[in-house]
Amino acid sequence: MAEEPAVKAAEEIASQLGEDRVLLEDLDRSAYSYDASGIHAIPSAVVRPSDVEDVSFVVEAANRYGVPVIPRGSGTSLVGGPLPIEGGIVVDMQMMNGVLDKDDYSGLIRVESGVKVLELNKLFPDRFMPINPDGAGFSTVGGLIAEDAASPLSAKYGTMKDLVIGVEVVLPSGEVVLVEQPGPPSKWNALGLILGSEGTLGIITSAYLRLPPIPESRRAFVIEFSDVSDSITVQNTVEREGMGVMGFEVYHNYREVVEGGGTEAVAYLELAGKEECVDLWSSRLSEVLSSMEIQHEEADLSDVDDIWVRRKGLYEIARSRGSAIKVVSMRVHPHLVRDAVQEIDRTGSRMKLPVVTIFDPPLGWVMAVFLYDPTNEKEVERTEKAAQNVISRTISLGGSVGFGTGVGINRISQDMDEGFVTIFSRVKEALDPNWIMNPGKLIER
Amino acid sequence: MVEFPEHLIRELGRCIGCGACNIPCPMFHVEDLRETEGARARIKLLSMLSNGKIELTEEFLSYTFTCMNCGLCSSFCPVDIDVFGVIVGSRSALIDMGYVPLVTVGMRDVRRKTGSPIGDRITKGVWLPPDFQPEKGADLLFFAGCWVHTVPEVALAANKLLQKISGEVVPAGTNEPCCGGLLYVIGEKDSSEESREELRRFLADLSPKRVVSGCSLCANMFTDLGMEDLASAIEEALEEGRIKTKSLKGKKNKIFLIPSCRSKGASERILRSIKNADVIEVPEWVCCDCGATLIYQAEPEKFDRWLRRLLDIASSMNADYVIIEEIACYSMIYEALEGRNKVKGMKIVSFPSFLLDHIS
Ligand SMILES: Cc1cc2nc3c(=O)[nH]c(=O)nc-3n(C[C@H](O)[C@H](O)[C@H](O)COP(=O)(O)OP(=O)(O)OC[C@H]3O[C@@H](n4cnc5c(N)ncnc54)[C@H](O)[C@@H]3O)c2cc1C
Ligand code: SF4
Ligand code: SF4
Repeated sequence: MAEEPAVKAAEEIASQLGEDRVLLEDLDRSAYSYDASGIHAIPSAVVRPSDVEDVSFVVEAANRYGVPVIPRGSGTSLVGGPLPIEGGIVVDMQMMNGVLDKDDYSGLIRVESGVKVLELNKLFPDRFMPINPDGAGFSTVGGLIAEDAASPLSAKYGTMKDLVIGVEVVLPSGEVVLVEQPGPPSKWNALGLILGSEGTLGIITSAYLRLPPIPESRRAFVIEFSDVSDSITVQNTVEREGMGVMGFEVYHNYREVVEGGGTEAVAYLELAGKEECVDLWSSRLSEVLSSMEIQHEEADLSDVDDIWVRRKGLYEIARSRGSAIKVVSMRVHPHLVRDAVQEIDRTGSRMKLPVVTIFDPPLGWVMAVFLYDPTNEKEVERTEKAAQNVISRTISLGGSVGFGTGVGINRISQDMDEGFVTIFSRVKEALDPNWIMNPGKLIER
Repeated sequence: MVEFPEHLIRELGRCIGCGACNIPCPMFHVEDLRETEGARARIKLLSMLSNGKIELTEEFLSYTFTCMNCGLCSSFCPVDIDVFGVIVGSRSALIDMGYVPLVTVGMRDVRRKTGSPIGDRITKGVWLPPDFQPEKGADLLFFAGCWVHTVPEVALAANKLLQKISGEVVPAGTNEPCCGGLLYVIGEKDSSEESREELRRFLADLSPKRVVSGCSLCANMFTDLGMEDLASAIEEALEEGRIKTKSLKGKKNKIFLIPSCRSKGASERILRSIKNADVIEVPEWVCCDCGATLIYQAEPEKFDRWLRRLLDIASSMNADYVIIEEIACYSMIYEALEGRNKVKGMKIVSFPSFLLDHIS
């Protein structure tokens, strides 16, 4: 049964936004109890605002009743980000999906936060959205900003924060603020606070972004590594020689798990830029790989797009054994990638779970993908343990968790990052004294 | 607790919740992107039901049984879960466990009495002479499909159209059995199989050289029946040069095509080949076929919202024509619009009627 104050708040919201914008039925509430993490938490109510005034009203009312509000985009989070783990009202932002402004010359756009990646990709013929984390284009701009989402193409374009110029946010008090560049440098700090704050400081209602142009020329390779450490050597060469890398992603154990045997790791590396440069870089890269006796061949660009944009590698893993997958996303210093991979492998064999590690040398991004049988309760439990183990091992290696995906309910604690937790909690206390905004995520109270 | 068969539990458990299956889901779009209505929620809620996180209520039961049944969700799942297959399989499993929603009971009974799940609203073959009997061994047998019998003029148009591509066209007539497609999507596997078996015997008895179906659900869902869908048969004749398209009058005419959900693209290609026809690109979730019957009967207000949304989009794109490929779908829309064939200045036409005027 739903909590009393939450129901009161929901009733007040319904009288302002309209009955059809507040969902109280069991069926609807259950439909907002999951994301892509496998975690469940049923909200007391779901509200569906259609403009910034609606959002402000919802947040102000919830704050008055002391009821948690949980912003939700498309619910593709891998870490329980949009789930009401401490109860409360889920705010479904999908109806706020208008394109407010766009400029063909500069690629600048202003969009409401419920706009999805697949819609951004329809806006310009010669520009695109390089960050498409779920591969289907279903994630929303609000979710991407809140999680500071990343993709293999982050090697060239950075993470979501690097595409954002400004945001409009509804603070936990219900106040609406605009935090935007260009402007005085101090504003960077305010914007930086909101980017990647996982919906704990406010609800993003619209954003000002810039989509980059599609590069003039591209060439890609598929590379077979018999030792993953070689991928770091390749990365060093690529950096030293200033090659324009679009993406470089390595799949350790992929051949073994998906195809039943083969090289230790398969990788995709794409070079992009001006045609002459790309040709030069490509022959140089090929030369370097040959000198290291690393097997490689030129790849079809559409195949590589499947890997970058449609996340085919990840999905092939999920498809391969009719299993379910559990993804843990982390970041380590590139020279420690080998150690991280070993830790993940060790965890996999200890827990008797097949595991593929995806890592992006230019980013130090490491994703452990465990495969498990969803019908076997014990295995489901073991998978959860494996994930927690990988997180703690990564931290003891000096790495961090939640790159791209956010940390969600795997909150960052004092012993993980004291500086961040101290500063962020003070900011949180100041902006959200009642801790109503997405509590239980990102940091401990 | 509801115990689903092992293979369903596995498929439900494999869902990673990415939401890709919501992208083509008409229910999700028409109901303003409300999660509950989308394909992902259908999978996730069934999964929650199967592991005891939620209870089976009357409301949940009718929810599970009513969607547009377009099947588009299956082709969007990146981990190859046959999303629609799992939904249909769960319906069957619930029926096997004795949980049958009222609308399904109704259709099952109607089928028992009349031979068709919508037999209470149709009289088969009113467009044919009262004593009509199909001849055996025809060049082309026209299997009309249940719904077409509510709009005789479309049945006649389809029949005439087929006469342009084949010498001798014989309608299947008043005793045409139902293919069982609709029963299949609502999880009534036994009665669907009985229906299909009856049709198989019927076709074997008439032994025509080829069979073209006005209902694309029948032709494309049960390929073992060896029926072609109407659009594919027309496209083949166009390619072989047996018929030609005629140009549309006047300047470019904007066409908003509602394709059949199981379309192989023939209808769109045919329309694109017509001079002065400007076929508008429609969102991926726009389609309709006989599978919509369930929502049309059980939740007519949802069907109306869907129709209104489609007509609004068509009108915002300045369409001159809204062309509906699937005859069953046209029949439902025709009824819902109370026979009006012009809305917001757009002509609402069935694919066969439109083609009859633009093919020589
Ligand atoms: C198969 C798969 C692969 C993935 N791979 C990647 C990957 O490679 N890289 C990556 O970065 N992510 C990845 N993800 C995770 C996910 O796609 C991203 O985290 C995405 O940014 C979430 O967007 P969403 O709209 O679904 O947000 P939701 O899941 O709905 O929410 C995510 C978080 O954002 C907050 N939020 C949502 N909207 C707002 C708003 N308007 N204002 C404030 N806060 C808000 C929520 O409270 C929550 O904390 C993957 C997911 C899947 C299913
Ligand atoms: S069959 Fe169609 S309407 Fe039903 S869930 Fe799948 S996509 Fe949605
Ligand atoms: S597309 Fe497949 S994996 Fe994704 S939510 Fe739908 S059923 Fe689940």
